[in-house]
Amino acid sequence: MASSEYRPGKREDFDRLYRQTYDRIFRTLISVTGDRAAAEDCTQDAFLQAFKAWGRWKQDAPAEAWVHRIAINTAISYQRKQKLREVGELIRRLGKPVEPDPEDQALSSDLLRELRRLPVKQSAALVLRHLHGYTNREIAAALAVPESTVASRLMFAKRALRARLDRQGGALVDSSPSLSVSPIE
Amino acid sequence: MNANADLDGVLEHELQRQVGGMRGPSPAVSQSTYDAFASGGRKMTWKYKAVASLVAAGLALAGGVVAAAAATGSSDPSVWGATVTKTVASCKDGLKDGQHGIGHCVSAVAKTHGPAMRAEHSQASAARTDKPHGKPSDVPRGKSSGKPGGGKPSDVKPGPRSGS
Repeated sequence: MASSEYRPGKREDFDRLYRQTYDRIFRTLISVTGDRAAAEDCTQDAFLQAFKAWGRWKQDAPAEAWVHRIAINTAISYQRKQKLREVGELIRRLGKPVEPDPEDQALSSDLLRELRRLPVKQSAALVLRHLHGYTNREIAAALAVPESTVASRLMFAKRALRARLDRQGGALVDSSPSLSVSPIE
Repeated sequence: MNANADLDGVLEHELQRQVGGMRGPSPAVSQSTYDAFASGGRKMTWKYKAVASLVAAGLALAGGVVAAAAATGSSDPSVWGATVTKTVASCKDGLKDGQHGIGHCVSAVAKTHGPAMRAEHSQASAARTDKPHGKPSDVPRGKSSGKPGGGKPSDVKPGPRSGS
């Protein structure tokens, strides 16, 4: 999708962008949050933020990638709030046995469950690459980071995933030894 | 290298299988948060629109019932239909050759017929209330109560109608 198809500040162009990209943004967010309701909220919130900034969109990245950037930042904020809530919950439940999260158990794939436990910036890079087929350059534009950063995020994300699945005896991936480099995020 | 390729393939397959077909509730602009924001928060969402439509339809229906009851002087819908049919027929009969339109005639009949019927019913009601009866809670419900004032309102036969 060429950036020239959309004109910054034009309401009808934003409406078209919303209709054309809504499902992809939603899928990215459900992949990284693992929660349908949260993904719906984050998607709406991301488009609201994008709408407010639509007049200032500089076309330095394709419009969809730009919305993805906003959406991923929204997901990061969401996860921070979630973590704070979880800490509060943990303190509240101190001394009591930890019950497994039923939603977590319902996830049918170990791989996707582990993907959701990665830092959002890493999982988002994986999702943009493997779900939407973005190139490293497009991911860089979407996340507003250099391509080299994208490459390292992808590498660390995969390494972390493989290590976690190895620990669980995951049969889907090769159990070759991981490199001894710790994740950056 | 081989492990990376395997993981890439599995990731792609799993993401496509589990997330690739997922859709949000609706991508309709009118249901989006930004559209509500653009409307200054005054715009009604589809849920509120649906509820408002139902309430409006209910009020319109209730209004129609009240109007029909007022015009015929009866709460029985079958009486409304009979009254309207009779009025329309008499108005048509009253039309001269080449004359069209019975709206005024029907309206005039409704205006005079309604109050007349209500007056008649209130007289009949007053006559029935001359007889003493207990509190509604003292009387068993149903047609077989055998006491004046007992039973359902529909058990009471309406009085004779004037001009019909």
